Amino acid sequence: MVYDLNTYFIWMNEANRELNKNQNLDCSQNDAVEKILEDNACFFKMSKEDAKKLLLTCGVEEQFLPVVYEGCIAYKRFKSLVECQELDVNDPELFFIYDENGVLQRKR
Amino acid sequence: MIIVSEKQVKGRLQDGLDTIFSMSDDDFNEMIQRLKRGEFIMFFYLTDDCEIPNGEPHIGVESNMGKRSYFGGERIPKWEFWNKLQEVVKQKGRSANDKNKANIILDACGLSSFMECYARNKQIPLSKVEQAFNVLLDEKVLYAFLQTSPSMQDICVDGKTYNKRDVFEVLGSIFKCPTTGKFASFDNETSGFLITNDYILTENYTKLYNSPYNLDRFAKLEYTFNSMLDSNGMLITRVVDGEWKLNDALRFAVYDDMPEELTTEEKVFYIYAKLCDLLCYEDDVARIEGRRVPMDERSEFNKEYLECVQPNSQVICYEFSRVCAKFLNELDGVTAKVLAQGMVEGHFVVGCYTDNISAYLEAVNVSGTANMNDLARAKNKLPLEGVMPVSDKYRLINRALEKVYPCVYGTPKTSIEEYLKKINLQKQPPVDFESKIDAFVNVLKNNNVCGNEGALTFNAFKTCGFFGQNVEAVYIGERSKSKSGTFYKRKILVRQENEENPYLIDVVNLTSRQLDVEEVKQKLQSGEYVYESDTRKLKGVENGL
Repeated sequence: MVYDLNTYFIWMNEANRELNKNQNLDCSQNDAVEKILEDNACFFKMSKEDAKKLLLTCGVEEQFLPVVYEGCIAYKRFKSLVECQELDVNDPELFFIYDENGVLQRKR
Repeated sequence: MIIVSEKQVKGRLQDGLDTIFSMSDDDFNEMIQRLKRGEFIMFFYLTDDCEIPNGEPHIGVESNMGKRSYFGGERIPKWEFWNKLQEVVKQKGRSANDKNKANIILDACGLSSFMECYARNKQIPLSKVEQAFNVLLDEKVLYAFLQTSPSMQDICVDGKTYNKRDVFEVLGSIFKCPTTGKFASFDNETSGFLITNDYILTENYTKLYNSPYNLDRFAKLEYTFNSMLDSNGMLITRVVDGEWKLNDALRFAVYDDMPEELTTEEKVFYIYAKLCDLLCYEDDVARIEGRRVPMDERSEFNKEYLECVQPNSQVICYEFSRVCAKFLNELDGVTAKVLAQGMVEGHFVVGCYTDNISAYLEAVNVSGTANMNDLARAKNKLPLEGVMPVSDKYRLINRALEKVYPCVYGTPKTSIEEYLKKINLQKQPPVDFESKIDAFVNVLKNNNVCGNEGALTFNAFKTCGFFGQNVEAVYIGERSKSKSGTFYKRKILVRQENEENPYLIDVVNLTSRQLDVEEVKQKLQSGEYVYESDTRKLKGVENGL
C-alpha cells in the first residue's frame, strides 16, 4: 500500500506525542497538528512558516525541513490531490496553487 | 343546597344552623347525603326573593326541584360553616342533640366522604383514592416516596405496593400545582375544607410536588394539551392520525444518522431539528385539497400531499406539524398532538410530552430573533427558538437541544488557521535514541503496519530526521529455516553516529532490541545475518569478525 505523505506525518506526530507524554509535556499541539493533517491538501493552505512549525511539532528535524517541505508542496503531489478531488483549486483557503505552467503561485 | 330558615334572628349562618339542628330527620338525612356528594350550602329566609313566591314554603332543606326557587342569597364559604360547627361541638351547655348533629355534619364533610365522592365522580376505584391519600397521611409512606428515585416504578412499603402513577394522578388532579401560600383548590368545594385546610396534608403534598417527581405531568391540564379542547381548539391525536404514511425518503433522511444512544427527550428534539433542517417553508400559501390558497384559509387533511413530503419539500405550518407529530408518535414514551391555534384556527403547532417534559414545537414561528422561523434557523445552524416548554422540571429541554445540534448540524469545521494558532513551538528536551525507536515501533503496532510497509514507514521517519541526524540504518536478512528450506526475514539495523551497538528492528513482529556489535559481527560471520545490499553496510561491521 502506498500511503500519502500526510499519513507518515500523522504517524510521526503520534510517535512524537508519545515522547512528549512520557516527558510530561503539553500534547495539545500534537492534537492540533493531527487535525490539520487530516486534510491531505493542508500544506497548500498554509504559509511556509506555518508549515515548518507544523512539521517541527510532528517530529521533523530542523535540518531536514527544506527537503521535507519541498516534498509536501511538490507539483506531482498537487496534481495527484486535484485528480483525486482532495484539493479544490477554487478553495478560498488555498495559500499556494500551481498555475497551468506548473509554477507555484501564492494566492494570498 | 339551600337551607331555609323562617326569619332573620341571629344572622344568616347562625339562623341556618339553628334550623339544621331542629329540622326533621328526613331533611337532616337528605342534607347529609348531599353534603357527602360535595354540594355547597346557601342559607335563605322565607322572606328572601324567590322566583315562585306562591310556591309552598318549607323550612329546612329545599329540595332540588325547589318549590320557591330562592335567589340572590349570599354564598357562605364552607369553612365558615364548619368553623361554626366546631364551635358548637366545643360549646359548653350545648345540647347533646346539637353536638351530635354537628359531629355528623363534620364527618359527612370529612376525608372519607370526599374520597368516596371523588372516586364516584371520576369513576375510579375508591381504593385508588385511598392509596393516594395514604401517601400524604402516612409519614412512613410519604418518606419512602420522597426517598426513592423519580422513576414511575411501583414502590412497596410494609408489604403494600403503591402505583406511583395512580397516586400522582389522584393527588395531582385534586391539589393541582401548589403556589406559595395558597393551593389552587383551597376554596374548591369538591376538595372540601377538611382536606385543603389541613396544614399537614397540604404541606405533605407540597413536599411531594417539590420532590424530584414531575407532578406537572398530573397536575397541569396543559401538560397533555387537553386544555386546547376547552378553548375550542382542534386536536389531531395519534388515534385519528393513522390514515396516512410518512414518506420513505423523509423517514430515511431523519433516521439515517440518528445516534442510537439518545434519550427519549433527545430523540424528540433530534427529529424536530432534523425536520427543520430538511424541510423548507413555503411562504404565503396554504393548501386545501391540493389547491394553493391564501394563508388565512384553514388547512385541511390532504393525504397525497402529506405522503409526498420528502427532504427539501416546501411545507407550511400545517404539513410540518402533521409530519413532525407523526414521527414523534412513533417513539416510545412520547405523545404528540397537532394543535390548531389562532383566530380562525389557521396556525398549527405540535404539542409534545413525555413523562419528563411537555413542550410546544412551533417550527413556523416568526416571533424569534431576526424574524426567522426554525426552518430558516436550522439551515443557518442557529439555535432553534420554536421550542416552548410547558413543563421542564429537570431542565432537560435545553440540554437535549444542545446535545442534538452537533448531530443535526454537524460539528462546526475548524479551519486550518484556527488549529495553526494552537501550535506554538515548545523547547523539547533531548530524547534518547531508544525512546524514539520504541515510539516508532509502537506507532507501527497501533496502526497495524508491518512488513514492507513498516520498512517504508521507517524510511519516511528517517528521511524526516525523526531519529535525529547522522543515523545509520541498513537492511539485513536474518536466516531462518523451515521444512521448505532456508529463508531470510527482513530486519533493520539502526544506530546513531558514535554509537557502536545498533538496534535491531523487526518490522514483521514489531519488536526492537539493542544488540552488542560483537554479536552482530558474529552473526554476520556465521551467515545468520546477511546484508541486503553490498553497498549498504554498517561502518566497521562490513564483514563480520
